[in-house]
Amino acid sequence: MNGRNQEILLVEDDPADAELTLLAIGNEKLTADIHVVRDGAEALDFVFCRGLYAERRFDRPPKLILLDLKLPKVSGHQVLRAIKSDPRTRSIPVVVLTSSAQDRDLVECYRSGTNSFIQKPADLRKFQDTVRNFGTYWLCVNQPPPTAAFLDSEPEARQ
Amino acid sequence: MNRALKFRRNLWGVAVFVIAILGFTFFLALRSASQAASLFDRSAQTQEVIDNIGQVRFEISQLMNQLWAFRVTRNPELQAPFRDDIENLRRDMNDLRALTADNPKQRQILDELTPLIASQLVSLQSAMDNAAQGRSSSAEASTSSLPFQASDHVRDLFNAMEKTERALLVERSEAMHANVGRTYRVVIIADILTVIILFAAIYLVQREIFLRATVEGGLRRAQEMLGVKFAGQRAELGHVLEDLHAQIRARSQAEGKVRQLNTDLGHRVRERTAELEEMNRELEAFSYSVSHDLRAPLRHLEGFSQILQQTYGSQLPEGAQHYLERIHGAAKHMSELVEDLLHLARVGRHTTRREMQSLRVLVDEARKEVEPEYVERDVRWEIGVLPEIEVDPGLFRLVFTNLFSNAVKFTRDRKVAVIEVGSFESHGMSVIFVRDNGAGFDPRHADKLFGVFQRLHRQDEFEGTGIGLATVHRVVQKHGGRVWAESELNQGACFYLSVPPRSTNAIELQEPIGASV
Repeated sequence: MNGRNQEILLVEDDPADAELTLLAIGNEKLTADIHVVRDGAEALDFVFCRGLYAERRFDRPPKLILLDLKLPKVSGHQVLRAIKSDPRTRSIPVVVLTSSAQDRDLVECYRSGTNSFIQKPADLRKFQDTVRNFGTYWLCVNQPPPTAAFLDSEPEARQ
Repeated sequence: MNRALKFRRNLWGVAVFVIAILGFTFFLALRSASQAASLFDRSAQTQEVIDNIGQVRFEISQLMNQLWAFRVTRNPELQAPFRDDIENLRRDMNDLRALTADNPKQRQILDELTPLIASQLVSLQSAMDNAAQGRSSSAEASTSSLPFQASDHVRDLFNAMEKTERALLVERSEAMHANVGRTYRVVIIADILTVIILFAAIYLVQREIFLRATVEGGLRRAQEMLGVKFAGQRAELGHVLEDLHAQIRARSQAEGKVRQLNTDLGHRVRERTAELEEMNRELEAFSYSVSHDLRAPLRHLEGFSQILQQTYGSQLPEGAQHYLERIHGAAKHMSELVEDLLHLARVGRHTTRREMQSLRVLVDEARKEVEPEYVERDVRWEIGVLPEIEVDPGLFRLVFTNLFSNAVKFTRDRKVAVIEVGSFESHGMSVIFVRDNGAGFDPRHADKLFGVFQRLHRQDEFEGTGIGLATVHRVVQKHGGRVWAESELNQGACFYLSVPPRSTNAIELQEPIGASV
């Protein structure tokens, strides 16, 4: 919760999974702050700057959201829909990172507007490779929209 | 029809013939009769002429006698009959002339005779007158026969006349006889002809009657038979109708029952469908949960044991490293089991989405997928010609992946592993086979090959989940096909799949796979 630019939001209820993911990311030495939330409701508070995260500002969104689907309270699907249907948050890249790649999950996530869908490989080495790949891509390769766009996009998105 | 017409025509012919003959005979008879009448008239006339001649001759002699008598007796009373007789004679002569008017010969004789008679009559008259006035002289008396001096000539003429007339009579009589004879013949011949024709007609009619009787008899018999048959059939029909009614009653009862059953069945089907849907939903949830929740801890087991190995591996004693490997192995096996089960579950849930697919493409993709399983091994692939068939590409890729994975696994003891893929046509089905030169299996256990969790090798020989071939079986079954395998221990194995080249209306096995999960 510091003010650094390279901020990643990891939405993961399972501490083991969270640890593994953090380990994988940590190994890659990505210059990013990783914020972990444990359920969908907290994730929404974080993204929409409310509740515990009321002091956060919409013009400083996370650079990437790593989202698990099976979450307590509010499911990953709901979180994804909320983010992608609000013009203020729509431009934030969301990578669904999940244990399973069931067809219906894939279909629903892409329909909701996910930017990527990754099944966590069982093998640690593969998992590390995967994390390195998408982390590098989204944080270093991919060009995000300018910050102003998050605010300007509101009127046209309400159509 | 034809016969009757012919017969009628024949009969008409006979009738016309008979009428013609009868008409002709009638005409001949009529003519004969008229000829006979005419001949009779003529004969009568001739007879009359003869009688008349006799009369005239008698009257002449009578006159002579009267004259002689008067001369002797001088009785005045004799004068009156004398005058009458003269008148009679004149009249008879006239009659004779009239009667013989048609005969020129008689007429000639009569012409000669008439003046002679007339002069004789004048002589007789004058002699009578003289005698009455008493002026008879001896000379006269002596010549009392004077007036009749020419009587011989008269007699001859009369005789000639009579002779002619008699000849005529004979002639006419003969003509009459001839006429009668001719008439007889005509009538007899006509009668005979008529009789013959009648017999012919009778024969014809009899024959026709006989034929008709035969035909009628036949018809009657046929009718009787028909009647009997009809009666029989009616009776039969009656029975059939009764049966039919009974059947209809039974059927309508059965239909009622069936309707009832259908209604019940409908209820039950709805209930069962609801149950099944509920079960399916539960299974979906179960499968989803397995997919997520069961995988995660395994992943953690694997992940953390790997991290432990990586981070502290060098510090651990040998025994601890061994146990760590065991943990890692177990977690990996469990992951594979879960993975395979989820595949199998996917096949069960999945509605096949078929498209024309080159099997060669699927085979190549599957080969690529199993490539990591045989690094640093000599594996030779012999891929034959493969057909293009209508299959679900995702599921069939899974089939080949499983079969290839097996083939690679069971050939790992071979120096050179040979995996052959090919196809042939059989009974309208495309048969695809995957043959290897690996460990093979005991054919006595072949029936267990495609069952879930069934394995023919010990885990320490060849590791495995026992789900792969069950998945293959299920996929092929969903495509309306069949799988089987041939092998001998250590002789390699060959797996066959037969699939209809085009999608038939094979039953979509939408069964929940829960039973095997």
